[in-house]
Amino acid sequence: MYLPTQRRKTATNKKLRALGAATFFSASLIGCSGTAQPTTNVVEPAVVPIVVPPTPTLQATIAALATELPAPVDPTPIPVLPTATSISTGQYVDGDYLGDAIATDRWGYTQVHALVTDGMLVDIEIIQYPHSKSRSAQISSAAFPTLISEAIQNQNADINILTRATDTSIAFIRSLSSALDEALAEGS
Amino acid sequence: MKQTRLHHMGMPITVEIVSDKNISELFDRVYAFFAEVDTHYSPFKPDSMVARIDRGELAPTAAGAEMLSLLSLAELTRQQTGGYFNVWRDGRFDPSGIVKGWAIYQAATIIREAGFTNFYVDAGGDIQVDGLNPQGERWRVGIRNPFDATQIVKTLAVTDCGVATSGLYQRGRHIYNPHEADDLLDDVVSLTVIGPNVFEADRFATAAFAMGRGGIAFIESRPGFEGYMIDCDGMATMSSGFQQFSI
Repeated sequence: MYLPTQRRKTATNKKLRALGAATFFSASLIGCSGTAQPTTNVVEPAVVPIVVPPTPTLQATIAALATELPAPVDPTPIPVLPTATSISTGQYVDGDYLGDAIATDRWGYTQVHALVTDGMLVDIEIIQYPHSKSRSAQISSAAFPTLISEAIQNQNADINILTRATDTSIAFIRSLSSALDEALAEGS
Repeated sequence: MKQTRLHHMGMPITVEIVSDKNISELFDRVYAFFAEVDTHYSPFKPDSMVARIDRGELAPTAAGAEMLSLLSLAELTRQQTGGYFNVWRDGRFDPSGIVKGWAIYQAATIIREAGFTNFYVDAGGDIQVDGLNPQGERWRVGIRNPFDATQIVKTLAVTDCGVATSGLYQRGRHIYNPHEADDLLDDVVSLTVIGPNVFEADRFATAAFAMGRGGIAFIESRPGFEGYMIDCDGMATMSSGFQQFSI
């Protein structure tokens, strides 16, 4: 998230703000924690099936697979909580940096924005990512009378979190790398 | 207290825990857990269990209780979604579609067991929210405009649930239509699912997205789930109970 005193390093940042990118940064620094009022849970609590007994179908599948595979090797134990690694190693120069726009696929480009505070990468925002070509399509919701349709409309609201499709593309990493290269170069 | 770190696979993971204490050790534990999951479950790491199973070097039965449990969950999801969710395809093994939601859920469990009740864990846009935000309100979750990454099109106010979004550019990875291999799923560009927890929301968002326009009807049919689908024309279709979470 942005800090109250911002060290703007890139000219592109003004453009970013003009684009309204700041909308995405958490508003959670504003104010501090008040007394939490209990609220009604909006979703029925559910027992989480983290461990479900294997179904006969699965057991059969695994048995069939096992016969086709080489002799099982020793089960790999799951080590408990080793040392974390991250790229926040404090070597960067404070500021915010715009990565290159990287061609991702036929849908478009991926571009990220990195914020470095106290030498560490503290936030990443995705500025651009590919979207579908526009073309006509039938509206099928009439087939489901309980569903509700509306045209999407941009909102201007303070949010804590952003939900989106996962950004795991190579393009994402490349754009971030270019932003961090710039953060490194600032100090050299 | 809030931290964002970049996961090994390039996925930013943000954790915010409402607390006045210094809890950096807890953050370290949570991120260490994600690193550990990546070590074992990344299809991109040649030595991971997933890669070894994919190459036929490791029998699923020999991969430990946790992997067996995940495979059971994957099989359950495959059955519940009429085959739209399948970690085995074209002879390859890729459980990414179930591992992420499971990992976020487990990370939330670590935080809960440390005694915290107001927090969220966000891994690449899939979210577990518990309790209330620092202002004592329900957590505000914005749904990103799939056509303009600088905008949001919906704001949700949620607590004690999971929110997950599947989108177009996951196509070719774990989002695909097993019944029509060449189906490009062009019509639906984004599907956000609210579920009882992030594990449930994530697996059903993945499967329902693969169903194309029928996905939102599938979500409508599942008790405890709500969905918001955006198509390529910028039209949204939501389940009947979705608006109670929308502000």
